[in-house]
Amino acid sequence: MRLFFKLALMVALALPSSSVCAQERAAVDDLRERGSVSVASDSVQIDTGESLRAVTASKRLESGQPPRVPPAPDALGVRAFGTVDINALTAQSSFNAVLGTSRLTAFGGGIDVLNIWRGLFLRAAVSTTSKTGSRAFVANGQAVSLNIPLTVSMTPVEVGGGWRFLTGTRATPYVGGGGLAQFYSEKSNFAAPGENVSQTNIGYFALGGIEVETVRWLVVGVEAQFRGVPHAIGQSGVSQSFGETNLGGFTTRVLIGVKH
Amino acid sequence: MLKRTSVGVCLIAAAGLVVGTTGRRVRAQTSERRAGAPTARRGIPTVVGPRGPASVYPVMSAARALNFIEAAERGLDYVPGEVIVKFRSGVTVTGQQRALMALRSRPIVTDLKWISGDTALHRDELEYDAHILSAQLLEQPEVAYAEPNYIRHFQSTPNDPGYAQHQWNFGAIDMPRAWDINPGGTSSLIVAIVDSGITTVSQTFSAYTWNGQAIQLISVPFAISPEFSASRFIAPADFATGSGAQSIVLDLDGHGTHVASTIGENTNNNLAEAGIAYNVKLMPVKVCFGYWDLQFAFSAAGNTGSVPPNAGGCTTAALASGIRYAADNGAKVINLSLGGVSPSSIEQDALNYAVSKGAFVAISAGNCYQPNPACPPGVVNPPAYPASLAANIDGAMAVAAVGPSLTHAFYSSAGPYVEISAPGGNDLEGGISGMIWQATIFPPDSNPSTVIFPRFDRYAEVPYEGTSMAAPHVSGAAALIISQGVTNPAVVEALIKQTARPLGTASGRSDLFGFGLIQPRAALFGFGIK
Repeated sequence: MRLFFKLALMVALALPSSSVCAQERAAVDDLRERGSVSVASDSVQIDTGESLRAVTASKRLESGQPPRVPPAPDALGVRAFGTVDINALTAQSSFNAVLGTSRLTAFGGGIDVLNIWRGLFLRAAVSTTSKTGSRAFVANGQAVSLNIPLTVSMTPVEVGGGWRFLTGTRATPYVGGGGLAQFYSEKSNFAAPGENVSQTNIGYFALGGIEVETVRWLVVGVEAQFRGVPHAIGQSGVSQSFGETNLGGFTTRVLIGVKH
Repeated sequence: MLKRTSVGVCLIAAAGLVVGTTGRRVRAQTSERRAGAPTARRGIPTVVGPRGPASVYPVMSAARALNFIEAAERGLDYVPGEVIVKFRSGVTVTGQQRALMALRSRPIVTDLKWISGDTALHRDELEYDAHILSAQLLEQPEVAYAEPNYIRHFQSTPNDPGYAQHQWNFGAIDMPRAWDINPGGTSSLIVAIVDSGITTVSQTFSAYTWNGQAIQLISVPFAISPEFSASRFIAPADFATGSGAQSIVLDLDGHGTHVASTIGENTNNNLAEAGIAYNVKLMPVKVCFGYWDLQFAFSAAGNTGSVPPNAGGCTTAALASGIRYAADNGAKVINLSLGGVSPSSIEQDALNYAVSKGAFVAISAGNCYQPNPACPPGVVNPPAYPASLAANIDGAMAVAAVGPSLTHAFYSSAGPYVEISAPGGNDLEGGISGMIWQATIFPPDSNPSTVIFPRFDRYAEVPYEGTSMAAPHVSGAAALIISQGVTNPAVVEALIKQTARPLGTASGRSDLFGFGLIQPRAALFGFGIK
C-alpha cells in the first residue's frame, strides 16, 4: 500500500524518484549551513528528509511555484530503455567460420521496475541480432566458405533482476542476473525442409552496469553481461567440428532510457 | 543423317575390343525438370562429320608399336625394353652418364626422353626385360629409383549389350539437388581427363591398316561428340603416341569419351544423357591407346597382319607425363580411370606434383575383386595402382564402385586404400540397365572383330561398368565443389569424405566402400553453425 502510494505520488508530480533538482540542491546548501546535513567523504547524506522537503517547499513558495512533495530516493520507479548490444560470442570459431566474425550487434529494449525493495529491481528485456554469412566446411581446424548464404538470427529474452546501489548521485551502479530464452535460427539458400534451424534455447545471464542521469527523466548507461546458453549447438555443423556448444557470450550494452 | 540409336556393349576396355548389339532406346529422365537440372532427353543420334580434308593419322613409332604388341602377346604389364629412371637431385650430367654405363647398351644421356627435371625414359635396344634394366640401374648411387614402364589398363569390365537407358547413377547421388546449388560448375574450371583421349576435331585422316590380305591406306573419319563442342576443349595433349602437347587428340577407343561424358557432357540440350559438371572446360590428355592406335602404327611400319586384340594400354611414363602436363596447364581436377597392379614411383611423384599444384585427383580403385580376364591370373583383389597411392595423398582419392542398389559392385577392388564410392554400374543388378550410360563413339563402327575399316565419327549412348565409371562421378563432383570456391585439393577430399553416405557400416570407413557413397549435394551445401 505504501509502495503504491509512493508510485502514485511520483507519477502525479512528474518527478523522478531520485532526481535532485537545482532548487533542492540549494536547499541542501541551506541545510548544510544550518548543520542539518552532514558531509561524509564526497557524498551528501540527508539527515532528515522532512527538513529537505520543507525547505524545498518553502523555496517553491518563494518563487511563486506551487509546493509539491518530492518522492523518496527509494521510491518505486519504472525505467524503459532501448539497447545496443555488442555480443562477443563464446562459440568464436563457429561464428567466425560462418559469419566471418564472432561479434554481433543487437538492438532491443526492455523495462526495469526499480526500487521494489530498496535497490532491488526487476528486468524484462529483449534484443535481436541477425547476420548473413556463408555455409562452410572445417578441414583440419580451418574453415572454408562454400558461398551459400546463411542467415543467423538470435533473439534472447531476458527475465531477471538485480540490485541498484543508490548513491544519491547521478550515477547508479547495479548488478543482477536471471534467465533467458534465446530464439535461434539459421536459414540457408537451397535448404530443404528440415535443414533450416529454428529452436529455443534456455540459458542464464549475469550483469553489472552503471547508469547516469542526464536530465531528470533521461538516463544513459553501460552494462556488461555474461550469457550462458549451454548445449545449444555442437551436435552437428561447424560447431561440432570445433567442439563448441554454448551460444552465449559476453555482451557490452549501451542503454538509453526514460525513467518514471 | 540423324537417327536415334543406342547400343549395349561388352567392352574389354584394355584392348578396345567391343562386341555389341544394337537396341532401341526408350528413355525419359524424371525429376530433373527443374531449375539448373537437366531436362529430359532423347536418344543420341549418331553423327557424321563435318570433316575436313584427310590428314595422316598421327601414329607412334613402329618399334614402339611392336613393343606393345609383344607385351600383349607375352602378357607383360610393362613395355619391353623401356625403363624409367630418376636420378638423385644434384647429380650432374656426368654422373647420370656414369650411371647409364651400367647398362649393356651404354645409352647416352641426351638420348633419354625426359619426363620431368630428373626423371627420364630409356628405351633399350639390347635388353627387353625391363626388370633387369631397372635392377642394373638401381645399383648405381646416382639413381633414386628405376622401374619398368608399366602398362595401366582401363578399369571397366566386360558385359553384355542391352536396351536399358536409365541414368540411375545421378539420382543415386542426389545430383538434381546438387545442380540446384551449382548448375554444372564454372566455365573457367579445367578438368583433365587423362585417358584414351576425347576427339577434338571433326576431320578425316589417312591411315594404313591390314585389310585381311594387304596393307591398305584408308580414310578414317573422326568427329567431335555432339555432346561436346570444340569450345569446351582446352590444351589437349597426346602422350600415348608421343606427340605431346598439340591441338589434336583422337579417341580410338571410346573409354576416354565415356568418362568425359560422365564428368561433363553437355546438358540441358535435349540430347543423350547429362554430365555432372557440364560447364567446365575439358582437357583431353591422351595417355592410353587401344587396338586401332596400334593397328595403324603396326601397318604404317609395313607389318602385315592384325595386332592382338588385347594389345594396348597406358604406360606409366605417359601417365606421369600426362598428369604433370595437366597440372602445369591449369587443370584443377584430374581423372584417372585406369590402373594396374605394380606400384610405380613415377606415378607417385606425378600425383604429388599435381596435388601440390592445386589439382584434385580421382582414381579408379580397380576391378579385380573377383577373378577377371583383365586382372593378373591367380591373384584375387590385389591392390591397384595408382589408386593405392591416393590413400597417402590428401587431395587424391581412390574410388570404388557401387551398383543401382548401392551395394558393392562385384568387380570393385577393396582394400584399406579405398576412400570413397560412386556409381560404377553392376550388370548383375538388372543387366545393362544397371550399368553407366553415357555418350561415346558408336562401338560397332570400330569393333575389330567385325570391322576392317573403322570410323570414329558416330556417337551413341553406351553402357559401361567399372571403377573407371565411378571415378568420373567423383571428378565431376569435385569440379562442382571447386566451382563453389573450395580450391584446396585436400579440403575437397575432406569435404567429400565427411559428407559421404556411409555404406556397409553405420559410420566410418570400410574396405569395400571407403567412407561411403559420394553425396555431391551434401558436399556443396556444407554446414551451418548447428
